[in-house]
Amino acid sequence: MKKAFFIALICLIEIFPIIAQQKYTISGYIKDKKNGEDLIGATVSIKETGAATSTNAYGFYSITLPTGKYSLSIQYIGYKTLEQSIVLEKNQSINFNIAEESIQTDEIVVTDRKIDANVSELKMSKVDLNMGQLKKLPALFGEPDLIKLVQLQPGVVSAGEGTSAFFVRGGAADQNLILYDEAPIYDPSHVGGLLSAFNSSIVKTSELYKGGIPAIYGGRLSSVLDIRSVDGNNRKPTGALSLGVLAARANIQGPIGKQFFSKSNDTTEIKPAKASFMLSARRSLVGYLFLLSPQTSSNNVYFYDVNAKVNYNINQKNRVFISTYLGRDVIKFGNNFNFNWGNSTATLRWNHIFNSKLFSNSTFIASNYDYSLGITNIFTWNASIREFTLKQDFNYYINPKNTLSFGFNTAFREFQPGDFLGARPEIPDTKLERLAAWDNAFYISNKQDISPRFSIDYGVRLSVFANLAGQNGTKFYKYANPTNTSNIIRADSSQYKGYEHIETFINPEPRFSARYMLNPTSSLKVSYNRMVQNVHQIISGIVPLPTSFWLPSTKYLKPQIADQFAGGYFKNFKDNTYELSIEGFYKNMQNAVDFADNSNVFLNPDLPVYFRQGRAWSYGAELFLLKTKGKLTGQIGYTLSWAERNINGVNQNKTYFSSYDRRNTLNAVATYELTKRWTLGATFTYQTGRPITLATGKYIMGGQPIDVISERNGFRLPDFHRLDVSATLKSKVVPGRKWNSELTFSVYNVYNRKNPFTINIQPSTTDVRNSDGTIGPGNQIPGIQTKEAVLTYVFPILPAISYTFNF
Amino acid sequence: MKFNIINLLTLIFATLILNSCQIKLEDFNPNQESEKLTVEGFVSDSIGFHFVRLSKTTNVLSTQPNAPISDALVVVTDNAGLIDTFQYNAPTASFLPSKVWKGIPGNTYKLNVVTGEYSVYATETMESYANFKIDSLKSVFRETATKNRVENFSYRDVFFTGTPYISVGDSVYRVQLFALKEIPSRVNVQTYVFRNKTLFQGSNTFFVNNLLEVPINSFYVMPPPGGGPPQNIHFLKGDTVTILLQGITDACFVYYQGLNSVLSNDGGLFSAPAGNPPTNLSSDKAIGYFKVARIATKSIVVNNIGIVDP
Repeated sequence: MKKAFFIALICLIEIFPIIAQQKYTISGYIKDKKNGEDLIGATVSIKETGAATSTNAYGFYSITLPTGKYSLSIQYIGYKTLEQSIVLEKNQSINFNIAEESIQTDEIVVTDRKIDANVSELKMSKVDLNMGQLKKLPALFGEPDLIKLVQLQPGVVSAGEGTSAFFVRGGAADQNLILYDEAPIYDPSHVGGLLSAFNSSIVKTSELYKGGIPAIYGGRLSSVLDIRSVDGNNRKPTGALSLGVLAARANIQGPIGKQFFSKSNDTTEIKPAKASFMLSARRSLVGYLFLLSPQTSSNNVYFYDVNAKVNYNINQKNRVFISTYLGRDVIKFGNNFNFNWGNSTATLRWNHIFNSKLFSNSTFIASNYDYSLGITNIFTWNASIREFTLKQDFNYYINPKNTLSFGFNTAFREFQPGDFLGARPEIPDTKLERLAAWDNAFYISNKQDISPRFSIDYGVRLSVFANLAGQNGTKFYKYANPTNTSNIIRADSSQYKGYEHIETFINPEPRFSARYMLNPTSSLKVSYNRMVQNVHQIISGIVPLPTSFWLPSTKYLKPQIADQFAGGYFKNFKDNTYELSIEGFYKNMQNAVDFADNSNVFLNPDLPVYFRQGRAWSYGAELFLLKTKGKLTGQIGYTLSWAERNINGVNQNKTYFSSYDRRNTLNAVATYELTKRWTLGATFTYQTGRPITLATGKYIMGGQPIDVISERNGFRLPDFHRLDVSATLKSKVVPGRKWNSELTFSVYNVYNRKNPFTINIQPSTTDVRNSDGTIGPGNQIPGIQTKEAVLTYVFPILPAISYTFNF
Repeated sequence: MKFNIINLLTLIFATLILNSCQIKLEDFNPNQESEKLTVEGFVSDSIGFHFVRLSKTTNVLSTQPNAPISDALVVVTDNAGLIDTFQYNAPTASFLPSKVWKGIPGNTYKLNVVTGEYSVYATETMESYANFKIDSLKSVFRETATKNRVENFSYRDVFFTGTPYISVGDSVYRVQLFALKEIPSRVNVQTYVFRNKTLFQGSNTFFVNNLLEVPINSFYVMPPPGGGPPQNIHFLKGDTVTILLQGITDACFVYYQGLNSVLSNDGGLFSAPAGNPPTNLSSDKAIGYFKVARIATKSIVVNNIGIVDP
């Protein structure tokens, strides 16, 4: 006990060192010199002491030093390093504006770059998605897609082509927390997954956490994809128009104020405006094809999304942002069929600097996802999930060795799992019980430099999740045998009033990361995180459909819990031109959700009886090589992994591979600057085939040929591989011209690989006859029915062209 | 000419976007598991319905029929002293009773099968559903008031019910079963419809229903892709329509529900993965079910007394 006390005391002493001499703090924002965008993760290092800090998610930094003269070095990947000398005799607020490497100004001192975040950063299992590179890579239908880039990262696999679902380190698609300007996106897809919901032209940064997830994040088991949109150029208006095969895009951004009308070409000469805006819109073009024929002119298939953002610098200590996203897909066939779904979010943020050491971010978030499906005179079917969140984050820069992050968020969610209304008396209504939840989380973590070589980040998140009744009350059934699907008996029921408390789940989530620098170019890192998930997507198969719905943790659906351990070796070569990482991970998940065999999950009022929860686990190794400089840049990632499950009531209680199991995954991405105007791009992906449940035998029962089904996921599809290439032609650089353009040619699936989306065993199309001899599905008992294996693939070779005009 | 090119592009693009591509796998080997004994046993409370069919599973892509097994010892017993050794009947490829008897509700029946390396048994108790019968049938030509409905789906409704009526139209593509509105307890039924002694059976469907949960039930046959009338049910004036209901157990109900899932499974891509339904057979080397059921049947000749849908 005494020993523990002294250890705690030493830690406190480390955090709050006795002030031996007067100390002052330098703080401020680091921004892009060209457009005033905040730079997230930029580093400020002190040459004399070796101390360093980095900007937070809002571009703010703070570092405390003893009185003295210092040389500050400001670094950010893709930007020229800025060095500045200061005399520190009092607290100072200094904003730094740094320029991209291609920009030459006298102010910038170009030094040897030290882009070593791969090695020196404490975080591991984190990928910074390079949006610049994304635009140069081949894209399906010529439309750059952020989620497709996510699917090329080590440890991430997809369900196949044409889907935006991704699976991280053996986790399900609903285990990914996808945030757009801090608002959760419940369905990140357009056209059922053909494209993601994110317009790449307005994404500023995108970070994917696969492990070592900071305490500020929670609510999902497997990953966090944190997408932040641009704030809007605060010096001059800019914009872009883009036309591709699938969609057209337009965006405009600029300062709010007189700067909007500035005619200067050199933006660095323009005083930044206090406010700026961004507006972006995208719409698909496919639906217009229906107009070509009178027979189809009343049909329509389209999607659109709109992003808008305004940010206003009230003063040096206060900034506000308003950001919104609206996206919707519509499929309409005359007046008979209508199916539409979409997300909408709104984020209101207020950044406040209490003092040079304490930074605050207050956020109010609204998010909604809904779908509506209707067939005239038959039925309408609506479902939704809606939430309002209040979030408060603090960064407290205690001293150069300790940065404390703490805060809370409280979210209110309403779940409408499904209202099915029949339009005829013989089609009964089915309304699934509506639910609500009050989801609270409190977190605290400290990033601590124990020594110049050894740093740790430790913290805890406390999840307090209360399941509530819906607005008009909720009836909960108690089943005589909650897992007996053969005889579902509602033994009892409990009626809860509107928003009445039903049950609370409290779960602490410890988080820990450590990094040890072996030398200036290599390090070892380890991490552990526990994640808890209290909202669950109910999907019937592996691929989430727009009709998938969400449910909170309830009496019958316990919170999912994951513990992940990861460790890795990180090394940079040749002046940080090459970044190498080797990571291993093990993830154990409790209460992983599955369903009993042959379940019908849609509009099932007794769905709790079909839930099955049990253990899932995954483990593997990831090798990642990144080349950051030179004419040829790109990355190669290889993953060797296993993902398995053992859930009572599924697969006769035997262990089985999860749908996300891929033994080998290899992804390569490259861009090559052929000339000043031509850039070539290529991606190659290889995955071991996806495990599926398949018919392997047959027998006759009741006159019908019946399949003998393999074990759950007992059959593996053929391997998946594909090569895509692209070439981008930039317009000539003409001095004084205020616009430029890019023309991109791409070929998707160059060697026309018929990658299996699935294999079906289905009745042969050639030998089944009706009683009258006609070919068809047959209406009489077929004595013998020949079957055939049919492979479904989504995309053959697909050339595409897109044009982007920037001004 | 320009319009034709646009049309062509439209067709190509729509094909690419809206339709995925499919290819038949000629040399596909789905790694078939070891061969299993197939058992289809049936005992009812009516004379002339009992049978047991035996065969072995084959590769799912085999073009050969599942050859019946004829050299087996098949014995059915019950808890009231019944012992009957079934005999093989080649014309029906089934084992049939050696004597005349009918099952008794509440009795537990046991099937024993021994053939080659397989020794399998199964037990099931016949349900004691009260008044398990079809009260009446009535045919009704039903003219829909909503013209759009007819145009959209090109079918007319046919109804048969447990109590008030069975109705049959002149050109019928859907059959509905109306059971009693208030069922005193759970009743599982499997339904068969015959037209002039020919069994209609929905492709890829076994009609099993739980009348407690779904008192109004349907043979819901949608039009085939591409339009046109559904092909499953088709009655004309003068046809003899026979409805046969089997009252089955909870476990049997789940088994046939499972079979329906198997028949329509897509490998778990968009729907819950199928699994071999739970059986009452004692060995995992055997697949199938020993069904013990009540039977209720009634016939009617179709007329065209019309009613109008309100």
